[in-house]
Amino acid sequence: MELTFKKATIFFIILVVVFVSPYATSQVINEIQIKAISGLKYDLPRFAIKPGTKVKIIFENEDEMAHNLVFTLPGKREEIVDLANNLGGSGPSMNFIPTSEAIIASIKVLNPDGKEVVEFTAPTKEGIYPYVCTYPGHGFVMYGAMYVTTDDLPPLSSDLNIPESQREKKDVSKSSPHPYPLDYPIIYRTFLPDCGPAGIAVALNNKVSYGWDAGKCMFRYAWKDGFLDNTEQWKAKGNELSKIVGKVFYKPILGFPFRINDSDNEPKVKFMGYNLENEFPKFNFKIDNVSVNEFIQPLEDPNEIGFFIHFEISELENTLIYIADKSNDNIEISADKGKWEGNRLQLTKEEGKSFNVYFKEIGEISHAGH
Amino acid sequence: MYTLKKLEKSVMLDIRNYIYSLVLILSIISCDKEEIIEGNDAYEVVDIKTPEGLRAENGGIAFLPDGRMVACFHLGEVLIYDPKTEEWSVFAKGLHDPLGVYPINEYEMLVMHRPELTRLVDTDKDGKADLYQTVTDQFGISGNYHEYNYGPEPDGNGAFFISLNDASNGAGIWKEVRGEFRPEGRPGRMYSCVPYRGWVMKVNAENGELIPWASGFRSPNGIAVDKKGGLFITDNQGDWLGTSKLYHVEKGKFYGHPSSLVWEKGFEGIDPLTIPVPILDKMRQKGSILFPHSILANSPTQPVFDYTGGKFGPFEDQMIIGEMDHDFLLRVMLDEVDGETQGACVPFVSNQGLTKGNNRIAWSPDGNLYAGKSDRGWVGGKGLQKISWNGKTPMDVYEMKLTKSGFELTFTLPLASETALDPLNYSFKRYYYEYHRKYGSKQFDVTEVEVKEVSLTKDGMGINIDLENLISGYVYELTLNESITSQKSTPINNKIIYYTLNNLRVQ
Repeated sequence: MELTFKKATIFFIILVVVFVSPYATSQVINEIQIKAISGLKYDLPRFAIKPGTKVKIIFENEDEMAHNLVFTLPGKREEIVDLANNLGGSGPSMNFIPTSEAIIASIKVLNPDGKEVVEFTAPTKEGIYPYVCTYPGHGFVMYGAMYVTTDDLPPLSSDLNIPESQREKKDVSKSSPHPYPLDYPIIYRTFLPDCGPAGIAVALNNKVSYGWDAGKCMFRYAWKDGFLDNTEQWKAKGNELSKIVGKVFYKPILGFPFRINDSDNEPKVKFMGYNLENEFPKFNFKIDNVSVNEFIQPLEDPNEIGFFIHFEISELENTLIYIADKSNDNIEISADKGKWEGNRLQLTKEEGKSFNVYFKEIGEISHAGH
Repeated sequence: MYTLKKLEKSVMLDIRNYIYSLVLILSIISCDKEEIIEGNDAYEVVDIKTPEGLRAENGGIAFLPDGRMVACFHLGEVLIYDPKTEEWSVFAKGLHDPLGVYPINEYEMLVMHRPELTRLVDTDKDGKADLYQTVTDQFGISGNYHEYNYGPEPDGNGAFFISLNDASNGAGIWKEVRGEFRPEGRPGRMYSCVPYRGWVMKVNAENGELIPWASGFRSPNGIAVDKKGGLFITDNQGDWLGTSKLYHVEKGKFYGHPSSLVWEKGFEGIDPLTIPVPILDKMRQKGSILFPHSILANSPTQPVFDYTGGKFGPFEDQMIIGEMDHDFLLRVMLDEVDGETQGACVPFVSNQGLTKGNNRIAWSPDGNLYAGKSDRGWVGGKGLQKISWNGKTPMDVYEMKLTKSGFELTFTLPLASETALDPLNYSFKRYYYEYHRKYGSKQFDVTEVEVKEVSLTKDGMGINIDLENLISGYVYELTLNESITSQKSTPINNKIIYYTLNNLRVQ
């Protein structure tokens, strides 16, 4: 959003001035670029020109759907939009541009990637001349304002002549985005960075969160001092990733963590879902016929940064290897069963049935009571 | 008329009600016929109050037999609404853009979201799901935003249909994808580089088995199954779709958007965009109903059938479809010609306070139609509305059937015959939309079609229109003059009717 405003300001400042003819009296052409962009918007929410000057509008459609561009007399936007909506069967052939004296200039419907130019002389009468996409349904939100004036413009944030979505906004409130208060733990299936597209983000508490990959059936990373910023992911079409808020402190890079039945190959996995125990998700997946429960919980000491994983594995026929990434000296990794050989925790068939692995950040313990 | 029909039916269906019905019929006849109240304002639309804090972008609605509504929303919530108390409760949360929900019962629901079809189970019966069980995730996701997933729609035999959107070149894909990546599926405006994008699939909800059902879809945001098990799916105008369509979908067939062919047996290694268009054109099944773009529909959504038994007005058994960009729904009048489904379409519930963005529509057990809105960065709306029939009969075309020489139209009310019989009160034109890779299509070969003769049908409720020249492969757009009214002078509600003529009636 911020970018759009900057762009708008730049366009506004860089009005390319070209002297057309030495004979014309101060005859200048204001070249204005307007793009139709995703989200039923013009990238340029407004611009200003002096009364009676020539203006050249370069209109490009960078969106995925068709749009036109219609300049109207002050206060006539809604009327023109209504006329366009009521063109019925003849709408498409008229480019959804109704015949009206309230229209001062227009560019026909452009398909995606289309580009067209229109030149006209700005009215001599000062005023706010709307421009709008009259493609059915678009006109109520997709518009902007041509200020024909020599004065300064009102602040963008309070300019009622541009769509609400393009006025500067204050910080998003910190309150819950849901119809219920947000209590820990918090779970979101979402698109996460450095994860497969079937991501699951969990905030264990206000200190520690982790990302789990339901496609690969594995833990991806843990971070501290925050959870997610879903603003962009939740906006419109869902193109953007959820953003990690805070600092990642453990991110193993050794691939799928289990080796079963004496094989050193990465086994095939199948995600079965999760159930909630005290609201924490306990993931269930299959490695061939072997069923794994992976239950990630906060450490007992609330002042420590870290977590532990309780594994329950059934139908195990042989030994089990669990691989942790011990390359980070700041993370202490330990287990209540089995034997470590470097990154590999070796477990017997019996030990594999139920064991815990602890991940604790060392050196950065925040002490209680300070 | 309808009351009688209904009663006749119930007599046949239920012997126990025989005498009761007879008494009712007699009483209706004896009290000098029940007056039909005419009026084109036949529906009432009210807003449903959504809970505070909810971003009411609706992905799915469905009803429990007790009348409570289950609804899922963009930020991952599955909520339950009790229309009696107007209270909402939380059933599940944290899902990734759920776009469809189906309650098996109040403790068990299926929900389709980005990563999978999930079974939500409230095992301890406290009103909240505590088990999020994966029914199937055996399809690909590339991370592209446009890979929306729809369904689950019951097939009538215990299984479910889901549909999988193509990706959009409005964005790329991620470094890590789920499922096999095939580079030959990557080109194109809408593309299918991971399994079964652009397909409709059948899911066995018990064992999760996933069967590829039909291919060739672009953005199939609407699945419905009729009483007889017929599968209908809407698709959205764009590349390869000159205009939005409703398909009657049959197993193993291809519906025209080529990207999905990447996952068709025998097409391995072939970039479908290299297949010559005339071949694709021969391979594809045509849309049963074409919705002229931006006139009737820009983005058709959920189809439903009116099986309310007359609780929703005179359009029993007909199909109603949601639409994103307009403040009306669509009513579809199906016509079977030569074993194939085609038919006509008009706006529905116009000018009655319905807002845009009707992404989902669903019947409550008491015969009201609920609409859930969304926009998702395109045209649309937010919130939920309830549509109820107020008992009036609108003056509308009830059915439009192809004859050998033209069309037979029946109306919801008896026609004022003088104007109805004047051929000048009917104007027809026809046009077609081209099948091509380019985004959308203009109307080609727009031609006026001369009306030769108009005659009343035997019961006086309809007319036969003979046309000069009938050819297949066109949309026939009929405009009725506003002088056409019911006998009691109720003006015709929808003056323009759009009939998709794929096949001529031979017999």
